[in-house]
Amino acid sequence: MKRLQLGLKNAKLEKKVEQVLNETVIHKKPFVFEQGRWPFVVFGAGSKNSSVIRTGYAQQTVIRKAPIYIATLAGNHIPDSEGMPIEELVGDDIPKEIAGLKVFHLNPMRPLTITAKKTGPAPKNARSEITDIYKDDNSTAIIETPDEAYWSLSLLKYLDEIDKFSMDPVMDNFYSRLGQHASTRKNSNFKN
Amino acid sequence: MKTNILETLSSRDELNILIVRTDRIGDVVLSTPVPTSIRTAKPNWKISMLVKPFVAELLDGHPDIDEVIRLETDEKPRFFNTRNLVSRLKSKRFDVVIHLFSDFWVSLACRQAGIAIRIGPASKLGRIFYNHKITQHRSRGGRHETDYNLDILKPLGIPPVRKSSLPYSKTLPSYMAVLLLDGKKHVGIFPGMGGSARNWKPKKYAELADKLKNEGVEVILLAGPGEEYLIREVMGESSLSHESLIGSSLKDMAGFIKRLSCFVAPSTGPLHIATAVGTRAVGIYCPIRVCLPERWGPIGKDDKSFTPDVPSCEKCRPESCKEYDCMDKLPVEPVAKAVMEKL
Repeated sequence: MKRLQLGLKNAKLEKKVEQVLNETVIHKKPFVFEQGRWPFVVFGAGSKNSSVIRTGYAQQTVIRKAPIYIATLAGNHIPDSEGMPIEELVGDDIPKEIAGLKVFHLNPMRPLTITAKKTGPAPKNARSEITDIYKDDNSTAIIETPDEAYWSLSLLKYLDEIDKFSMDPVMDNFYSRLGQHASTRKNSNFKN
Repeated sequence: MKTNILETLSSRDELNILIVRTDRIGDVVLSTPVPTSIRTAKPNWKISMLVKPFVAELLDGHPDIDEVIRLETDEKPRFFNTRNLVSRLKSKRFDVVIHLFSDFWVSLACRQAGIAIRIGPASKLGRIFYNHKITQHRSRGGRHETDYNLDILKPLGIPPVRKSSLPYSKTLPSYMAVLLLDGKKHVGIFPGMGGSARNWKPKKYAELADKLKNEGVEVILLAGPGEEYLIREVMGESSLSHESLIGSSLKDMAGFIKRLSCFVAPSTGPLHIATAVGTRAVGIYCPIRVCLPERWGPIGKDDKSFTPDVPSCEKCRPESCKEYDCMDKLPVEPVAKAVMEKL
């Protein structure tokens, strides 16, 4: 099931987003999970001589300790709805080209918080140095983005990826019940 | 079932109610009939209003609003700037929240704060956090914003009072007071706007100012922060030499507008401030469908609005529009006549 849907404004942007998503490298997924919180370090080339490193976390929004799941933020079938601008989920640290990029489908609701942003080693050394620093940290994901300005897209790709392989119990239960429901209806129709 | 809960609530003598309107000045002013309607029907209910900080000053001291709560920032509400709102709202122990403007993160904060009854329009993303939704299609227009706001009160059985009101400065700073001459009629012209619709060019406002001046009226130009250049442009095109006002607190501006005989402006907050303080408003509107005076015009009984005599459109597309620039087709003469007829 497709979890993340973006509303792209033009072909040029579509190409850029596709490039960033394709070239994002997830070096390490966490082995140890904290409920509702996904720590990460994301890095990418800032210039020829330095990379930009951001550390932070994605945290699931909750109401009275119950996590919020939103399958569809908006769509053509909902009048006056236009999706959610990406900066509402990732903050203002985004290039102007993607400002206002609409997120149409997101699940769960999980805004990103950056706790530190710093310049790091030259791009050619960044991968080995950063993966080495975090090699013993089993709860933090390491993500390399092809363009540091587009770090947020790489993060969304990572979250999408990790959801596919490590579905959380609530969503697992939800999708399995969907499956049972579909199966029951099919059988019923067959009998008739 | 839901109706029963609301019926029970509306019969209570005491209720702690929050009204949310976290957008701009004009939107907030056009929402003031909501607290007034509630206060008229339920004098003992406690009414609070959540607004952006830059608008809050306008509402401080409003007789129908017990407390004005400010968002953390004037920026668009987001996850990052609404996190503290939850605890602030929780401590106030609201029974009901009425969302006149549906913002996702503010709606979420109200839900997270445990406000049990959440009423709002069914059309935007924030609807997922409401348990009483009112179907409206504001973006299609057709009705006035004030009526859309008052519709949200229907589930509570509150009769609408269609009258905006604002507190204003009773005494003016001397630099404002000197602009008002004894025994003269003063008309304010506010040529600027936030850019949400199309507007007359400065030359048209200058022409209007000259016409009014020739009729013996004192014309005072007003502008908001960042729109000082408009004052210069209008003055450059007209015979006006000095009377102008730039920069004041919102409450002082409301007090100043109160002392004018008429106020002319495009679709902007100060036009609605004029109506709310009881000064006759004359509005200049563009024909874009969602900007029409039927939706955004001033609501005073003597107020008047003008749009160019061209078909209304969905969006301004200068490159393909044969009516462009339609605002040039709105003549000055009828506007001047409307200003003069009730001075």
